[in-house]
Amino acid sequence: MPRGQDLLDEAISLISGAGQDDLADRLTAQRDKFFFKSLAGVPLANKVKKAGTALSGDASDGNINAVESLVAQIEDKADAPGTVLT
Amino acid sequence: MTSDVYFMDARSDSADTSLIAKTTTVFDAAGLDKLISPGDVVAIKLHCGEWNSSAYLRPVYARAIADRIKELGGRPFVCDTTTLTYSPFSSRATELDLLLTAERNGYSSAVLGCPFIVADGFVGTSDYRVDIPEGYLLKEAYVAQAIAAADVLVTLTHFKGHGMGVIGGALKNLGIGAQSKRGKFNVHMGGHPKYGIGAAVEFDENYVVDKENDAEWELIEEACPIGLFEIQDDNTIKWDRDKCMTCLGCLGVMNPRGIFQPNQMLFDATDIAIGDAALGVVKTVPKVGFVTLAIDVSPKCDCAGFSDMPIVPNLGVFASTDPVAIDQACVDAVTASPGIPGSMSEEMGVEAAGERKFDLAGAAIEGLSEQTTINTAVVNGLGSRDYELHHVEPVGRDKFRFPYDERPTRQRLGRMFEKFQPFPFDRHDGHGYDRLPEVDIEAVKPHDGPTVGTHAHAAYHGDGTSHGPNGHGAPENQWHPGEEGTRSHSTTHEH
Repeated sequence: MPRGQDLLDEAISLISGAGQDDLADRLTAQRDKFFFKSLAGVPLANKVKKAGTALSGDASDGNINAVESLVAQIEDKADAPGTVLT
Repeated sequence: MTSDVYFMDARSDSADTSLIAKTTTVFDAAGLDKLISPGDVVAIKLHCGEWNSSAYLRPVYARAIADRIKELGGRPFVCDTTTLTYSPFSSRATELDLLLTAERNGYSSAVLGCPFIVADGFVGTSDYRVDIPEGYLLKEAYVAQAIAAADVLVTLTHFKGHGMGVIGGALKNLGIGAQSKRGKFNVHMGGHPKYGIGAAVEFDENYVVDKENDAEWELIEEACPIGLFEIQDDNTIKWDRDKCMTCLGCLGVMNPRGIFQPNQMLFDATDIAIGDAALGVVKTVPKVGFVTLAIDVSPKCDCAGFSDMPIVPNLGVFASTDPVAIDQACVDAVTASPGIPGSMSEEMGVEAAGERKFDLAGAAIEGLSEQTTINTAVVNGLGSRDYELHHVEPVGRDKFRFPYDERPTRQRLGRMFEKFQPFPFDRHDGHGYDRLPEVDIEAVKPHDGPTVGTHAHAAYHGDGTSHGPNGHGAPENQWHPGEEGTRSHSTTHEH
């Protein structure tokens, strides 16, 4: 499996486990896009996994907001024209 | 066979160790000066950078080489070539666009001291076809006309990563950069029965265009310069894939939407073709040399409309007559270097010294190799991966003085200063300026802020407005030269 999807799956599991199913579902909607099949999505997948790890240890508003911010960034970048090659 | 690569690192503490001086120093050390005979027309091929990229080479490096070529009696010009329409909004696909982009990025005759030329003409069809039976995949190449016509080619390269090529080095500067647009279609596998986009990518014929939620849905048709995509009445897409030229203009539109599925084969084949097309250039131009600066090593190419932070510190400047050896030397130097914290090398987990950087931090998709193009160029006989790295010593700062007036200061400026004295000796008892005789220097050095308060009549408050001599408020604080003693406020602080 491409490493972007791999990291994203770990993040989704952590975020879902922390009770944030809406955020997890939003990430699931992105996982099959080229952004995560390519290497372009790896840095953000890594960041959201780290944020998910923090969330699973402490479901504070700050940690939820951190995950939500990254989910929004992913939704924005995953569909951006030209993201992949250039 | 072992090739020679000449190298100077990126540290500098004097004129002759500046990177500009080092660029011409390694040029000579590698014997590239010997390539140039009086009257030779010399093409300096470089990447002038896309609109909004910023890691491309500063024009001064090309200027320094052009000046050196002129010293040797050659006639230099600096050049780049038109690109494929590799995104819907690329900025160098025609000569007109390329010249506008090049000028914005600093590449003009005034800066370079020689013409800046688009080597493959207005559209990119000015070229010279060359047979390459030795090629691993390609059997012909189309070299940009101005490069093919030159007596000497100096390949001046910014070493960096690349989404498709994995690395952007000397070989890619030849195998893509020195090809005409027609040649670039060839290298990118346009029309290839197995590796071209038309043949290779998995196309979702059942994809339905979501016009309500996809604000840029029209790009699906508009991304193709020859109109091969047509949205049907039921919002599915018809693609005349047999005619695809592999211009890459649609990938950034189709891949994110899932209309195309990623295809590693296309990327790998292109990386092989770069090595072959590079051979075509070397076979076409009688004399070719290479200078590569491994500085601002961004993870993606200068063809991107942005430049990410470098993945490794500045490494230095290399020169050679072997494009394979110089690329291998650069790859090895990047591998040996620690990555920069916070850069793509860290985000991809390859920041440690000794880790290969570009396979993950440069490539767009997993599975590509930073060695593919280099290895292909070994197979087709273009050069050797084995090299001896020669550390070049500086040649002395005298050689790098300001060339337009080499006289020392008094000879240059003495008479001028007698007429137009810039220092106001007639003021303040010969001290020239209104200054306090002494202040508490230590008071403004603490890292946690000054130990004295803000001046009662401070002119600026950090809010973008002036409250001083040229702004509103505090008119009593206004003062002009010649009004000594008339100011209402003394030079002492009021805390």
